[in-house]
Amino acid sequence: MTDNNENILRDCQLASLGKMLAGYSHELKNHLAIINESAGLMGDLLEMGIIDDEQAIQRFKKIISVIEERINQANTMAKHMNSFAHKMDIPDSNFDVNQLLNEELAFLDRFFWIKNVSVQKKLQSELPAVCNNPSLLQFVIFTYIHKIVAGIESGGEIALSSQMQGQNILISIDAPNLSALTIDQDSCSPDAAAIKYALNKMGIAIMEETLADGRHKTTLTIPTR
Amino acid sequence: MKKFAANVLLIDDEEQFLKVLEERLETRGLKVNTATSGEDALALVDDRNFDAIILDLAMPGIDGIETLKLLKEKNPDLEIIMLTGHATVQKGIEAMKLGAEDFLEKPVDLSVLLKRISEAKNKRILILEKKSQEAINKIIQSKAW
Repeated sequence: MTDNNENILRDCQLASLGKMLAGYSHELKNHLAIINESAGLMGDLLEMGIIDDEQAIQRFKKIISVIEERINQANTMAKHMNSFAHKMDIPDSNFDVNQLLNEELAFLDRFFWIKNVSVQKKLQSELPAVCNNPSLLQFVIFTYIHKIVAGIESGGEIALSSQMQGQNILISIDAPNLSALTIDQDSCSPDAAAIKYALNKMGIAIMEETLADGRHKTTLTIPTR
Repeated sequence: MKKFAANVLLIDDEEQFLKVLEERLETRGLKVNTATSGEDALALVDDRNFDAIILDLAMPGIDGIETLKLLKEKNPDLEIIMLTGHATVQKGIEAMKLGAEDFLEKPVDLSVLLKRISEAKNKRILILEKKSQEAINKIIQSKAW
């Protein structure tokens, strides 16, 4: 198989992955809707006084509230999964950088939790929409932060910010562990090579610097037009 | 529990969802009809009036968007609220362009859905009142009173 065929195959695989995930997350939401309305109906029936025992009523109310809480959490996850899947629908589209970053943090949450990593988030509000490849950018940021989390010591801290500068939106990631972050030109890491290729394809510049306090800062510059 | 009167048609291929939502709306005073397909819904609007129609997007047979189009062709004054687990920005825009009143995502907060139904009903009353007034004005003008 030629390299070109390999690329076509990979693109098709990604597109079908997107379709599978999108369909699945939509169906999940339908199931959640039925559970939600069923829990709601139990609450309605209690309110209508079908049970006399006050202690039983309170117990049922508590159970309903747990179900509703979990529905909300599962629904948020299904929404993220759905939004992620639909990002593969059209390669280039208008999107909100902050929404993408928030979604990214939700996907990474489990990795942060396992490593006991805390995240400081400072996203500038009302950033203009960006026309680029949201799926590819999401891949870059996920891979990048995931790599940081893998290299960081337990209990470390990562800061993620977004801000407007001229006609560009800057996304900054700063973290304490330089060695885990360095993406140098000679790196043969597939992640690093893929990140560089993807950034180049999207026209996004990357700048890495060591701050005065020794922390490592990576800034992505995304043109808004 | 706050109650109000409205005549609603729920269209969804998920029968369990229809059943439980129907019961919840009825306990709040609404009169509810249900249809499990676009085809059934189109037959129902021929001989009944609804203050609001709650329509699912992904259904076998005629899908939600096509049903919306056909319902609006039959009666442009129908107040249709899309309620779906298959929400995307593109579908939302498409539905609004075709005249949907709102586009809500499942699972929905019942108080939000009730508010939208109430708003749809009020809007429908205003449209009907305006139409009656226009008809009266037309008669008055034609008789040169």
